[in-house]
Amino acid sequence: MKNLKKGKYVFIFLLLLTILGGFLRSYKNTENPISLSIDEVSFGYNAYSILKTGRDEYGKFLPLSFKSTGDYKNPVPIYSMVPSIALFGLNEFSIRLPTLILATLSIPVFFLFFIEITSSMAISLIATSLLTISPWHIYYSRYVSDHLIAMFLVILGVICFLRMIRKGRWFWSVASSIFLSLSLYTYYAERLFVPLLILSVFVLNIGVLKKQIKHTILFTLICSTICAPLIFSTFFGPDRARAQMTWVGNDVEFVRNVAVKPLQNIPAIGSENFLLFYFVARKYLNYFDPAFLFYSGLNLTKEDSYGLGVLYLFELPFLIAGIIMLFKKNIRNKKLIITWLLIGLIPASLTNNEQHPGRTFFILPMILLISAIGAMEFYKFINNYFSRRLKKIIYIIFVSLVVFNLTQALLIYTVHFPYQRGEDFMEGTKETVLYSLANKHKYKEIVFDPYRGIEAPYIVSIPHMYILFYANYDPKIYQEETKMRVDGSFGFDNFIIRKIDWREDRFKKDTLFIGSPWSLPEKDIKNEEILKKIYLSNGALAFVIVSPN
Amino acid sequence: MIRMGSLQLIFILLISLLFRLVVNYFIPITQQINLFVIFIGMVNLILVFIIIRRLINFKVGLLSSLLYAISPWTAYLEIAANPYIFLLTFLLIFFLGIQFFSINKKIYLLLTLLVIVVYIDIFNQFTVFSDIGLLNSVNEYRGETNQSVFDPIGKIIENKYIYFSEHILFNVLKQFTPSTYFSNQAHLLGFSFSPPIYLGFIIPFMFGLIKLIKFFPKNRKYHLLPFFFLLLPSIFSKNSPDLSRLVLIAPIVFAIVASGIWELILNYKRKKYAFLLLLTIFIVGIQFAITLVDIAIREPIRLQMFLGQK
Repeated sequence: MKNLKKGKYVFIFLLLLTILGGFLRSYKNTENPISLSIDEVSFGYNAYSILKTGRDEYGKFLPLSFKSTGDYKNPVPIYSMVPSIALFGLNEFSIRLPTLILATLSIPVFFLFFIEITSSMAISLIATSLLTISPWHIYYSRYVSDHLIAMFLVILGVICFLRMIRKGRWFWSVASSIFLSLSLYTYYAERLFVPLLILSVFVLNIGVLKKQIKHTILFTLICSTICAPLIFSTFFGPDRARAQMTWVGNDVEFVRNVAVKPLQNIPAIGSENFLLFYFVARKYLNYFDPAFLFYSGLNLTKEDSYGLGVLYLFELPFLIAGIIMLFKKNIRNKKLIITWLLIGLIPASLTNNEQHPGRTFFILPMILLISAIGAMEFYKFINNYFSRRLKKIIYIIFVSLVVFNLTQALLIYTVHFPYQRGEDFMEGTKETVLYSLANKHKYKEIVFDPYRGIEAPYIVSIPHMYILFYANYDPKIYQEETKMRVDGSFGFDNFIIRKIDWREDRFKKDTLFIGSPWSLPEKDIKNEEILKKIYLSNGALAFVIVSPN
Repeated sequence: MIRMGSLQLIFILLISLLFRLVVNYFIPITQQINLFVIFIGMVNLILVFIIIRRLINFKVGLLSSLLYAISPWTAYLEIAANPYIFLLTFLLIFFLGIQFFSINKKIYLLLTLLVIVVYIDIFNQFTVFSDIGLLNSVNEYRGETNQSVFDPIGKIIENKYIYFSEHILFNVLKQFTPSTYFSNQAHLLGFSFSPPIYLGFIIPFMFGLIKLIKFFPKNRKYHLLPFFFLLLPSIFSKNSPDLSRLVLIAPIVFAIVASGIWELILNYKRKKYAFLLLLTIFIVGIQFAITLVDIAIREPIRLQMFLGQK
């Protein structure tokens, strides 16, 4: 009876957390992030194309790897959007919906995962509460995030896998192999992380798995079958291009400063391959940087400014206490927690970005768990070692710090993020596209310059994808159209995507030009020729729409 | 035994001298070799050995001095005649004097703090409170919040005092980032890509650290306080963590690594320890060779690039 009552309270608490988490993740999620990113429109239009024709934008039938902008996108995020696009049409809401649903469902699913790992109700509830307000999780929940979908599948897969070990039923074996295999089709980092994780879990549970040999074989067989095309594609197919693109050896810092290319007549021991190993180790260790963890890891504000880390500052004492407890106490599945955390940083260390919060996203559950373990110890420590008055003071200070942190996060996310990172999310492109679509019939040609940027025209955008997206352009027509023009430019319908050279283009009649002030300098254009100016949230001029008289 | 120990120390001193001469030969940081600073560095090495021998044991003292000898961190700073090498010498002598003459611990702590504060003040290095970048960033935040509905909250949350406090807190935390010490993340003297401490030493460092946390004698807790004082110059640096200033804690890091190595050696018969010891030797050995080649080939180019940018 007592257990039943306790279970009821846990359920209600969990439900409240899910509602709160859902609210934090969904509130105005079509307005913040301020615009659809390049990846989002590509995902969205390819899903629309699959819905309408069963083929991707290049006309490939139900592909397992979408060429998209040349970065070979994974299929699960795209196919998962198809139902919501069928229901609500091709728009911001429908493409962000699947991520939002999975993000909200992550709250109860993570709770089950934490229970499975620790078998402690208190630790699991604390960890789930931390997840509900986690800036890392909230950020990736509010737009199309293959990282989040992949992690959701990994968590489901591991829950089923651990149950397979514990209970030994066929169902768990099949379910875990399906979820874990699907996660590999969702995000690239999982292709390294999941096999390493499975291998580690195998090693850590070798004794139990020997007893469950039939289930283990079934698990391996299903995984191998589902992943066979992916393995082929990764090593011999188009996905290899993506791997080469992001490989750490192409890191600008490594090429320019570490390897100091091009150098000749280097002895074998000084070759760049050796240097690369140590460079990877440096990247790995750099993920333990407090800057990444507590004040700028999410890159929501300008470089070197105080933004939002992947954790809140108030989690710092929890994290430290949790790490100490992990080494000191005999915590259930301790080895799995440490292994998960350590191998979780490997994929990100092998790629060419500095501290990528997306590629390390799957360490989040373990960080939350360690923080929750630390929070429990922290609570016990304060209760045992301080007088009642001191306890009160400590709790007041701590609650103030929590409130302060959350308010700071609110300001950063709602005010500074749109101001400072609008350009990264291609702010303004939607407005230019909507203007061009509304006035399309007036012009023979509409020319979009793909280069943009406030400080310099260094951002290569993909305006054609935004046009296709917002025009709900018929995928069948798009697939069949000839898009490469004689002059080498790219276009469809009456849209042309090419660099604008105003010295020559200024004489072209019946043409609409859309570009940044770098390609359409206001001083060289007559006032009556400028039809519209589009500004970013921070007031900077992003686009000028011009038609020569 | 004593004679053997002295010979080993002399051998380490020769390695140290040779390493510094190699660095100086290939990387012209200063116009001419500064033998006085190299001599001061050797004095530091001997002091590190004596102090750690007294605090822990002879072998760990010897290992610590070997680490001092082959570490690019100390070698580069000595070649560049960095002022913090002199401060380190002073503090080591000071610490040894305290040990010899059993001076009151409180006076010792007070004097250490005073010396460090005076030193960083002489070199006009309290840059954290006049960080224009931080002030601009706070002003920018305020300007942006001003235009939103959150203006009243912004007034409380986003003010320079709170941001300066956070800045100092983060600067403290930054000093504990492993990549600062075991990789080339924070560039030595602004240009170098040599690691301050070789990566492989992170394994014994972890062992040493765990041992230190577990078995640190309660009656010697006062030894921890100067450690935090020694971090102050780097904490208050504009480019925190600053390896030039962090060199003050180098002997402590070397001692932790050395005690970790000693722990691995003592437990060599256990497979795990033997494997980790061999792994450490393998990673460090390779990286030492790579670093030497790098010093001869790439570091001079990096220095030129750095000077060109300046």
